[in-house]
Amino acid sequence: MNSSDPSYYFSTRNLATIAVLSALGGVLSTFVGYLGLLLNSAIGTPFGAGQFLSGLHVFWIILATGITRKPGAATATGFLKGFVEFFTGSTHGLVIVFVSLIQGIIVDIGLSAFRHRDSLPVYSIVGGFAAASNVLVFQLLFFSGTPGLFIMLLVILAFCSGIIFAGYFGHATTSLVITSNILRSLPNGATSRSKSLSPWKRLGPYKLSAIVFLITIAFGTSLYAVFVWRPVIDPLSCEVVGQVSQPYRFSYIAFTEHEITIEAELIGSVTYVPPQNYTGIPLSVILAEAQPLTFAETLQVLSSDGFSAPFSIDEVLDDSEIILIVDNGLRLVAKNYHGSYWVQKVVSLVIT
Amino acid sequence: MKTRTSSFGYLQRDSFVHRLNPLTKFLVLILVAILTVTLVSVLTAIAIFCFILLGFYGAGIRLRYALGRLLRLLAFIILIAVVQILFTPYGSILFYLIPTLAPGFGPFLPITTMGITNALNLVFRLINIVLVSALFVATTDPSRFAASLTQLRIPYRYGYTLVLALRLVPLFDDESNTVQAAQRARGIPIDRGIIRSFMRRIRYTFIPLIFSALGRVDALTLAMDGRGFGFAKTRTFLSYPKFTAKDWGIAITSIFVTVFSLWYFLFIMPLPQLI
Amino acid sequence: MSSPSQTTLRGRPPALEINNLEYTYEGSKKAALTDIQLKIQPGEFIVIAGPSGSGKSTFARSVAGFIPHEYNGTFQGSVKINDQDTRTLSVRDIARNVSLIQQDPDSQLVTLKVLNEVAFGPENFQVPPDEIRTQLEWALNTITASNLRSRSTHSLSGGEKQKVVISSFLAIRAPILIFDEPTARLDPPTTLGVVNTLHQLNRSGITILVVEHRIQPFLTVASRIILLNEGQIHFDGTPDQLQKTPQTLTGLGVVLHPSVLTQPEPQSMSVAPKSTLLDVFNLTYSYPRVEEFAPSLPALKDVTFSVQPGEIIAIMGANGSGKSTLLLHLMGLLHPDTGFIQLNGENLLKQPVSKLAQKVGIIFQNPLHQLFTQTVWEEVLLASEHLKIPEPNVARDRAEELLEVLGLSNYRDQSPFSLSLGEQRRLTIASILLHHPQLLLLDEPFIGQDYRNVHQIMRLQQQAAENGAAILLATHDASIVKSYCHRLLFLYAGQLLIDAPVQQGLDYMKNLGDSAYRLELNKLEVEQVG
Repeated sequence: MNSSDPSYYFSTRNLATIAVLSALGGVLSTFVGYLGLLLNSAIGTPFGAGQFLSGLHVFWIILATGITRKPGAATATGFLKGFVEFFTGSTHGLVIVFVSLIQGIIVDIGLSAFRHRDSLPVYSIVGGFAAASNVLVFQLLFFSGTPGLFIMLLVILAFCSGIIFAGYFGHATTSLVITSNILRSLPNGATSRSKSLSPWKRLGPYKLSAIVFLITIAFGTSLYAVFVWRPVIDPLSCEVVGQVSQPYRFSYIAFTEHEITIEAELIGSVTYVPPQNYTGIPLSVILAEAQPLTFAETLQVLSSDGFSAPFSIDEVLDDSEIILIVDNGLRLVAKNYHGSYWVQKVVSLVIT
Repeated sequence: MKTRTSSFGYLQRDSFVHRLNPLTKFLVLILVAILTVTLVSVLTAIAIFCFILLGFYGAGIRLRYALGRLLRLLAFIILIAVVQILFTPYGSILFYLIPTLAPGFGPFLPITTMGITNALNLVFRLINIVLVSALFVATTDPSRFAASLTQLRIPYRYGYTLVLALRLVPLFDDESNTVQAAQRARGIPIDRGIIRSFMRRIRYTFIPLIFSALGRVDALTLAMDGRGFGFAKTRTFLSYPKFTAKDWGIAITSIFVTVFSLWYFLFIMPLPQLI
Repeated sequence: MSSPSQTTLRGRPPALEINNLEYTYEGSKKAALTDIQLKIQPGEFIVIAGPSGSGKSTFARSVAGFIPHEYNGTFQGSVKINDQDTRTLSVRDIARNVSLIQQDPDSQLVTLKVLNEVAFGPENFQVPPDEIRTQLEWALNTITASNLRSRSTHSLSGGEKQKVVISSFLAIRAPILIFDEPTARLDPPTTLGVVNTLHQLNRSGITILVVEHRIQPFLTVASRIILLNEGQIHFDGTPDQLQKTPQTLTGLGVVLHPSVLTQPEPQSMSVAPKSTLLDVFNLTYSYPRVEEFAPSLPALKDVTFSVQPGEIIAIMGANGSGKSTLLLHLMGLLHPDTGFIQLNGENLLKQPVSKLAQKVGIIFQNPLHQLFTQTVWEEVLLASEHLKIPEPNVARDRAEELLEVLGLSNYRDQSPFSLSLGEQRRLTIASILLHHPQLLLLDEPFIGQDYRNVHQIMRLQQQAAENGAAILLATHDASIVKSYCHRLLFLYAGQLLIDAPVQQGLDYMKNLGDSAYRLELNKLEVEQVG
């Protein structure tokens, strides 16, 4: 019976607010999805236009943070809203928890970069980034290799949506909620909040640097996501590296004009394949493209399983009957060589 | 007899899968998702797909339940496939979508073997994630899931925040319908002028619901604190899902299978990309 | 395991002692409570009454310790529970001794299953599972809710939800229970049931405090009545003392007997109706079931009636008898399984609701669900903006007038959400009266209204009726029905049992043998004779 009362970071009131807003956000995500479909059909695109509403998902996270004013509330709301959508049968399943959690984390990180100033520009920028993140998550998971331009367009669309719905709408709703007496008990300091809705001119150098920082991070992330990260690497490609003046990644599709067909017979220690036709690209062409340096002597053809076979550069350059063909990845067909030189799953050509 | 569609995807049954500890199922869900995302190959995707089908069979849940979800994602699935097929410039060219129209003009948009493989891979990835999620949701009572979170040493106050959110879902579902009805009753058309009235519709739906929902926070807080919520850092439970031998077995097996698959397919034997 | 018995508590210090309590909410200039001095002995049954804004809820929160712990404000004086000052205890410690059960059950249920809900308190207080099971059984049995044990909380009806909330607090076994307006939304029979339950709890030794608008149902069971006005104790005595000095009630807006209204009885419709406005034929509807073992939800069975222009019709019936369902059908928001509805001879169900809104206006029970705009002024004009009637100038004049009559003129530029619930309800009424619909459907518009406002609301309805509109009004308040309505429809389990002129209808209801209605109506008659 003694007064044990532990103190908690999130009060019960905070938790109730977070639960209420996550639940409502989860319930209304169906409505938002439906509006997205309407928008698509109104504009006449089968998809994409719905991204214009992606800020409406971040809206709840911003609102919960604006009301509770506690770092971490955004992450909690994002996570919880994701789970609510998951359990109510979101078609995207577990992915939605991931997407929503990331949005929450971005809002929390963004707001702490701005020292939790609850002004409209801060909410807008943070909301923009959080909304745009969903495009990148979906790109990573389902749209690898999509031209960067399209992704950038969608990112920009989602970013704008975040500014409008998460930032502007979120900020306005937070003010509306706090000025009405619906919450009765207000957190300390909530009553003395700034009233101005557009304090752009009060942007200090600190804030500007924070903006630049965030923009750089986001730009870098999207560049990386779009151009570097390829969860599905073209298996019909291999790197050409070493003592060459133009190291590059050979891609079969880019060389199809050089395709030739040869007849060859595979004589290995165990395997034997009678003479048959193989179509592929001569190794000489592939190497010539890289311009081997004059003192280069050896070519190592490496397989993905670690196997390698050595060739003489000069012989290869003169021999038009050593070709790379498409067969379960790239495979070497070396007509006048022993079967052990017919390397499978070629991943790299190293010139030394 | 009309039956209202439930707010949750949970389907009450008495099956082997239903009886498993929610945490076991959640672990399997996460592991399957990890494998689905990391192993990019049509063969492994089909293997995972078969495993999920086995789960549906074991849970006594008809695949139709999940197919509905996939159908709603049809546009998305097609989008994924189209993007891969059009924008994968690798692999042998099967044919061109646009043939040579004039000398020096065309052909355009090659359809390649790699494009089709990539499309298959990513569509399978989506289908597998959606199906395994649907299986989890259909077989897991959300309140049991939330109760089991405390077994992960997650403080019970957070677990109960999830319970509270889920408890409010059916209530807000009803309120959302009421608000939409109230809009129509006030002569606000919902079926015309889509673009023009877009922002207004959002505001008219969001604002009343937000205020009515936030109006509950005060009462909820008093109702929770008034029943000792947070009295101590830990609490007792009337009952919570137990870990049985089956749970341990499944958890350990699935961790082993996952680690082995990742190790084998990523480091030992790279996966074939083509079928 | 038995509840704390009365004998063991006698002779102890007062269960509750309040000294010079004064409380002012943060940001408010006026104290919500001043100079409260009170001692409550274990085992008392106290009703605390007073008009809206008299400090009843603040009082309840102070006793339960939420003030000062959960609210920012200025707290002076002291509240002692079993001789311990609430300021030195934590909210959760106080909760072991005092339970505050609030009005809206939906805002107090926090889990998905009834069993989890009832176990919620004991679990938090670290009661061992075996003991929880005993407490849980006792709590459910005490208020006859054992049949609900395996249900989902969201599938319960309103009354069942209230039972579950009460048992979830009972399971903590606090010796003092405070109920905040436990009967505000209940029909007379259910109200009687709640009063009996509280009486039983009290007899088992629990100290009961009931905060209420209506004292009437508690007169026979309460040991003491406290009237609050403007944050001060206005009266503190037994029910007998109160009844001997009825003048203490004047100006308080507290209703001792339901018919303190002095409105002359409305004249019955003398003009022969030319044609009907509304015809309802064999309306039958059942709600889809929420879960397998939930009982079938309220429905309409074969409801047939007609409405003439100019009629004000009361729809009465128990909670869940189908009143709201009927109104939703008349707005075209629900479509019947069988039967049909005609408005001016046209099939109402074939018209889109947004078109129908020109001719029919509805207000729901919860005003928060039907307020959309940024300011009170825009809200009143919203319908005219969409329906294009009346002309903008006419609309503005009419809006001014409506706000004036309903006492909302001062709030013109405020957000509708900053108003009190009673004001919000009046605002929704103003917003549907603007364009003079032919049929007005009001669902429980009087909750949270004092009698002056009830009168203003009904004056507006009478004006509308004089202009040829018909009004359908769902309410539990027999005195309002008697004062303002022409005709009464009584629904019982979805069936239309009575369709008669008001006086006759009330007599029929009395004869139906519904003791609760009889109680209210007997009172009415006594008043009428006196």
